[in-house]
Amino acid sequence: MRKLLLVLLIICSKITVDAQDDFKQYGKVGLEAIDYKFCPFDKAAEAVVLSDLGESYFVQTSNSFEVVYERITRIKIFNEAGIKWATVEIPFYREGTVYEKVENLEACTYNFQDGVLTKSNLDLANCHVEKINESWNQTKFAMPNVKPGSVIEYKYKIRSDYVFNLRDWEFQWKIPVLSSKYIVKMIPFYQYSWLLQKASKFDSQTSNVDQGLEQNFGGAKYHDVISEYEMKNLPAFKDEEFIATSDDYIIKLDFQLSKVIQITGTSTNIMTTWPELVNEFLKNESFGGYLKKSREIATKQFDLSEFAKKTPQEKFDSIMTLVKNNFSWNKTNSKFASKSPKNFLKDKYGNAADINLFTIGLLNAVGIEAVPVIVSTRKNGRIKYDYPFSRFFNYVIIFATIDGKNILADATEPQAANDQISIKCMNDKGLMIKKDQVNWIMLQPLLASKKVSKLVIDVSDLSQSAGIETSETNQDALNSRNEFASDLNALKKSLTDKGYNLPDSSLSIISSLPKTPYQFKYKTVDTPEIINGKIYVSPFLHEIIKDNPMKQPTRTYPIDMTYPTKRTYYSVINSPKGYKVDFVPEKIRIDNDLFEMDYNAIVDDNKVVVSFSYYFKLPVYNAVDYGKIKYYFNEIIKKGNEKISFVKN
Amino acid sequence: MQTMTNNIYIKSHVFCLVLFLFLSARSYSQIPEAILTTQHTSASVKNEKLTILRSYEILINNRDGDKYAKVSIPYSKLNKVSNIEAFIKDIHGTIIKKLKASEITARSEMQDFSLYEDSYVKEFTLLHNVHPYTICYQYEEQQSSFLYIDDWTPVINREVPTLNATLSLEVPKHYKINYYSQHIDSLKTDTLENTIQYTWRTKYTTLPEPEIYSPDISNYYPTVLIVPEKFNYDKTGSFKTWKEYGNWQYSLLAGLNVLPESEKMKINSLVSGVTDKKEMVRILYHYLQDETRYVNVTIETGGMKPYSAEYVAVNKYGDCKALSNYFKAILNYVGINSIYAKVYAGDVVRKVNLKFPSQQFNHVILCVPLQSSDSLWLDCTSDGPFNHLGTFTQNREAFLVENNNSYFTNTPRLSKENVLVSRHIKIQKDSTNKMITKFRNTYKGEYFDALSDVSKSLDESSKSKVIVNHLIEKGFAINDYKIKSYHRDSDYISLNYSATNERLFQSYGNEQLIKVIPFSLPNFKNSKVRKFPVQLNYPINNSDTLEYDIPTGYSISSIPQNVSFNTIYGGYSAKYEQKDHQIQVVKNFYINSGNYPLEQYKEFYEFVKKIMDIESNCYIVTKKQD
Repeated sequence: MRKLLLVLLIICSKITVDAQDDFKQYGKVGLEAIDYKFCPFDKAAEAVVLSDLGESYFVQTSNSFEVVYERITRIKIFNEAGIKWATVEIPFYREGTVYEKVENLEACTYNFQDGVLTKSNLDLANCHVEKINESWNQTKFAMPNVKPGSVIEYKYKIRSDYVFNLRDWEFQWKIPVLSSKYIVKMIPFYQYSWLLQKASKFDSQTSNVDQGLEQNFGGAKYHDVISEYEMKNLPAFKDEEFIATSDDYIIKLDFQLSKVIQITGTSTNIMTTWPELVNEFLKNESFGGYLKKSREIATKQFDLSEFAKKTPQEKFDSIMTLVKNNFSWNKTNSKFASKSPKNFLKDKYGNAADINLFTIGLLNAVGIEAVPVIVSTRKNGRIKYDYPFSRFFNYVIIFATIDGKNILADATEPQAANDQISIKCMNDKGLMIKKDQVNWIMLQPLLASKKVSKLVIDVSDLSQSAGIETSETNQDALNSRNEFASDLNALKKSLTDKGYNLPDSSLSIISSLPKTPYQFKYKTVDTPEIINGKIYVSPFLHEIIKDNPMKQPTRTYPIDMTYPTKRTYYSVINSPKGYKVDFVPEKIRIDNDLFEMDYNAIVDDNKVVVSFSYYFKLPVYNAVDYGKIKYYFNEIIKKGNEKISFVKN
Repeated sequence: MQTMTNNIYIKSHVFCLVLFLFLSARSYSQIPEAILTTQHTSASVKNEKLTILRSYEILINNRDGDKYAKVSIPYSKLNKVSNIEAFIKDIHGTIIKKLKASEITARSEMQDFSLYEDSYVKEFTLLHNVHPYTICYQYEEQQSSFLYIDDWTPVINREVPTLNATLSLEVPKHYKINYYSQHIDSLKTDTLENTIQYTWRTKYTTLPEPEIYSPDISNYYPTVLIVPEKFNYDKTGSFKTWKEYGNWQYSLLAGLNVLPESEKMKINSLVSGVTDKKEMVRILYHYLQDETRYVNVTIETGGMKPYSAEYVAVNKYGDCKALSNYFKAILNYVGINSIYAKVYAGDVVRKVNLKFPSQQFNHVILCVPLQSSDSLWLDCTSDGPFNHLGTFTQNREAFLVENNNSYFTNTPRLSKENVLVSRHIKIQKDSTNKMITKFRNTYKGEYFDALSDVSKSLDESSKSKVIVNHLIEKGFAINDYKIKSYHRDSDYISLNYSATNERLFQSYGNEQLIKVIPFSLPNFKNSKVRKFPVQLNYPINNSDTLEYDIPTGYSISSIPQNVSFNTIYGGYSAKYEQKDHQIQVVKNFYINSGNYPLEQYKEFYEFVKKIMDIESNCYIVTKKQD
């Protein structure tokens, strides 16, 4: 019999799991698990996964196979916060010909009270099926009789005729895991490759030929090959701010069908190499085929003669503008077109691939060199370069070359400049789809997004007024165009929320068009800050952040700031009448590979001129630099909010 | 937009964090993104069956308005939807696309605190590229069991005007209805041969964005609520009077109070030897809190009829109705009478329309009348103190359900003392000569509710995220924190933390300014901008004691003046005291609860502004000693 825990030594590493017996262990919990009071390597954890065991295997149907996934999970709940783990959701898939089914569900709660171990079984009448969307459902249930100290256990089977994706296995949970094991029994007709994310190795990994009876499928004789992957004592997965998606950081095992072998011996490669994958895309009817048809339709449907005398840059801009103005994005990310170019032209809306591939077709038709780049959006996670799987990608953008200059573009974003991609696409690298070539394109910009504010401040005993002009470029500008565009009310509200008091009609937007910086200016009036007879002026008013965005004391993951940022502030403060400058802050300069900061204040006759700039040079910083980044923000806040003082003559 | 639901499923303080979060701040521009040009709803009751046909025409003016081309139609087991038809018209009125049945998808749609509800939506999108265009759709609903004939608010979004909306209802002559309406232009009644037809007509011009402490926005929408005088919802009942409605609710609870023998034995052992009734209720309430948890499952008429006491005793979970009914059964077993009390819960108080007997509640609590003292009020979904109603249920009209004697009474209101937030803040040098600020904060009221919930229900890393992002004084970088909970029946909780703030001590040559840490005041906008009256559901009361160690080598050259004033809206005081090398500041501010109409806002704002001005510019000045 398997020992779940050694009674005397409550040390996780000592817990042994014998997988062969594990599936027979359902319903037999030892007092050790009940007595278990906290997780030794995470004493604050609200619950712990005692064991999590999964198995995928194939069973023959009349003329094919289906894959069965079995799982048995045992969780110990320590406190009230852990009770949420007693609500269980089991997702399953149904679409087209795929019909998954949850079977043999059993669940029970163990409690030890007044010297008695009680077991409460889940009444299946209390299970409910929620329809998440057209393809996904989930079986949901709340475990009965759960309180701090309970051990819960549930097991189920999912039968699926969809062999393309073997179920992935997440070793890590948001609570610590003592033992997690996944067993896969392979048959020779499907070959899978696997990928372990965020861990270099398993605690144990074995692979053996099944010693049982020989199996027979259509005359082909075979034995299952049983692979076991096990990990122990996994820390709780912690979500942090400033990461693109937490999916990139959880420890998990991914399976991908790589080859299908017929009984006749012929095989079809599913997983390929990067060059093959690129060529596959070009052959695909909804990608390369769509692209080709777009080119043809462009020559037929549009009068291209007017483009003839334009420069390449003008051609590019007018095609981009044409698409942005006439076609709209249905908010669906996709790497494949959803309809024919003819229907796209008729409907005038489509997914990201419909729009961007069509745009590439148009660009090519007028003689601009442009190719698609397939990408994975930030929420979709990073590309794993060792694994040429097309499913990692979920979006396509435009790569154009104009006068020798390379440009990334996205026609789904009407507010973006023509040579700008949206933030959701700024995720590591994308793959260019060009025949027989493998080119990885950096998607996170190295060019800083800039914001410049110029302030002129007049102050007296009675009032303080200022004129402020702000100009933003790149992503900062795109953010403002998306948020405010030319809506004065919305912009005014955001400035008021920052702390400014704008007199009526003092705000004007100088430019909000995609190709120009986003620029606006306004006036603000306030009461002066007079303390003990002196006037104090904050040279940059409310322009500088006042709270450090890096709030947590420590950091585990890289800090993804998406793109580099540069901020520049100039301020001219006219000395109040009857006063002279009493104090100006010291100058300061920081300059290294990560960050740059400059502060300078000069007294010039009756005015003080202060300049301040800072520059976060990288889109992504390593976790080890967290302390530095936090410190830089502190310096920005400290320096940027320092005041000038004036004293009576 | 359905503003009210027929179902009850709320948990006490389901994450009051909304308090801390920013409201989305997109202002409305001159040209509306979309216009609901017509909305017609025609309902009819025939042979006790209700059929409603709803039709919409939405003019979509620009790309921002495309979001209204995505349509969601709610339905459930009791409310069946059929005959969905939809198409797009271009600017000339030509139909350019018709919706195909295959383009309609369906999914579950339930409230995020529910485990399961048998409610769904059918969805489709009818998008066109050339603006403006109009989407037209209609569908039919059928119900044979209903508490509302309709809860009609012909508004699809606060920012979208409605030009022409009608609600018509045709019922047999003998069929009696009651209705409530607000912001309605006209009602026409027509008597036909065998039926009576009612037609309400209205329109809607947009409302500004709700502001801090503004009343519930549903008060401002055009709405018609119609209930049948007699209904059959699980059992037959009537809305003729509150008493009759109470009788129906009482009848739904009949037979649900049976406890298993094992449960009775457990209860016996818990209260054996206890004679004081209040003490008995307290012991049993703790047992309820320790053994059960909140899980909401709503199927068919389950919105009104709780799961039985036996079901809760076995599974140890239930929603507010089931847990209240279970606890009522427990009290009943030990001979203590308690009353099932229905309320409209929420952080913002919404009045019950007392002249319109109907299902206007979303929560159930328990009232235990005692001869020796005031009634006890128990929220059976709460993990909080015994006999404590927080911001979620305080100061409400509670509908007490009794046989032939149902009535309204008010739940206790939170007083100034019940909501006090007091902070003891010490600013001193640590061992490395660095200025460090130590906060000892004790919260009551809304922050008590929120922080206790965070403390109990979140894992360590989420807890730290919430505290660091929402509870730490602005401008401070936290070193460490500790939540301190007291006895389970205390209505206060403490948060102690140490933090640094580089801007607290500002050096200007020989002078150093020391910032007096301000209160976090509600961000009221000036009276020119304010659009809605102020509704403060409970008072705000803050008290700070600050102790500054004056850095060595410096002497005090000026301290702010002591201030103290009180108005009908609230008051403020600040007192400075110098002791050797220390300055102690004791500050207090409070705002009284109440409804302040817009005409009074100028005065109200002057009061708030006066405090803001003092607080934002408050320094102790020190000078370097020669």
